[in-house]
Amino acid sequence: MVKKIVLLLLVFCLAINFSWGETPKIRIIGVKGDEAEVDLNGSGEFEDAEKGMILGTNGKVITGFGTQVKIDFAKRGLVTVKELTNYSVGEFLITDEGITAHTNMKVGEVNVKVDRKYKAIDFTVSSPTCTASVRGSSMDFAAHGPKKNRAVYRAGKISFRRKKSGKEFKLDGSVPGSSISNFGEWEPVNPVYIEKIFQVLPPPPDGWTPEEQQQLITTVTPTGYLPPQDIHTLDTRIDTVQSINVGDGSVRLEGNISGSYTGLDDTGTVHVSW
Amino acid sequence: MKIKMVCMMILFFSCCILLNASTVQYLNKIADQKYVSKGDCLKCVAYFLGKRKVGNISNVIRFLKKKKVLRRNAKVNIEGHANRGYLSQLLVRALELKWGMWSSLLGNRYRTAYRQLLKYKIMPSGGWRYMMDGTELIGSITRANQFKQGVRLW
Repeated sequence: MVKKIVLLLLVFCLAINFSWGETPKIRIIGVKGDEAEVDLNGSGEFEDAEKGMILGTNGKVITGFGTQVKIDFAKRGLVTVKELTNYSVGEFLITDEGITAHTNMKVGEVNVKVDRKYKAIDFTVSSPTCTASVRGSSMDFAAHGPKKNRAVYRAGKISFRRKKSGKEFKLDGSVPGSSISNFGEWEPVNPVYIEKIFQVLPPPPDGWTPEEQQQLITTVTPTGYLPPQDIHTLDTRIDTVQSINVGDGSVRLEGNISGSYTGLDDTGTVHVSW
Repeated sequence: MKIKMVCMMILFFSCCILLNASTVQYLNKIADQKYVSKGDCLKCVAYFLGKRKVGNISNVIRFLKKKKVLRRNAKVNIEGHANRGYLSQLLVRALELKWGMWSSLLGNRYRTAYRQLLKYKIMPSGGWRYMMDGTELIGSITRANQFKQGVRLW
């Protein structure tokens, strides 16, 4: 009888252990440099940051020069805390469908990437003057004092809101690299990022028809630029693009795409070749 | 006698703890301050120049004099509020930037130093008299470091 009870207790303990093991957590997965400290639960007691530490509500990470900390938000998001940053995890709710996390950054820079496969993602980073939120995408957010805040678009959908005026900017489908600062200063995209857009275009199954070429031009023409769209122009030309059948059904494209881009206060030339 | 000894020991250890307090935690405290003092600016510039322990202000001043950020006979009111001009002056010397014509003629002034750093986008706009808060001080130090590394500032 006693044996049975002991066995049952053992099974019960193991079950609890397994269920705890499955609970998603916010965990530090990498520390680069030696000047990073962590306050795990917002109690005010700091200790050196180490890989594997688990952050709770109000947990805080502070970094010094030359230090970066990577935080995994239950495999739904990845935050890279860069040097001289004061970043804290506010409240969060992790579900099977995604994550809702409100985090704060008094000063510094973070890169946020959230997994697109989850549908319910609401990840915000607030500085004293602005809030940037990201849904299924990637962004950089920097806050260097009340007058220097900036969100850099990388992919997906992000929005940037000024707290004082409540004005919100949406950077959905912008060219990666375009950015918005807290005074609404929009920085035209760097030609390097236009190059990336060309590279991520899905290759057509067979050669380029004139309609497809036209469609490609339409695709690479920036449509999500912030404000106002009509000032920016992108003139793209596609010269002698050939498709070569590799043999396994896939097609390799060869040719040149050239174009010129004129931005708000910057000009650049694009030249991409496969 | 014994009580005195114990008190002295406690004082000594607390001083040691204060002096060895982590610089990162000090920066965390600064980020909460609404106004920063000149002493805070000196400590941050010393940290920027590579001094990792900035607990003792007299050591910091000695370090900055050695690095020629402060003049040899400089007297600093460490409690006084720091404005952007003061930090700019320290940063221009720390970054070893060349002075322009006006600053060469009129001396190293807050305004000229601020305008120089404004040009490089290290300092935010708004004027050199603006009293800085903690986040702006740390932000400016970060940007100065990025400038030093050749990062394109915005």
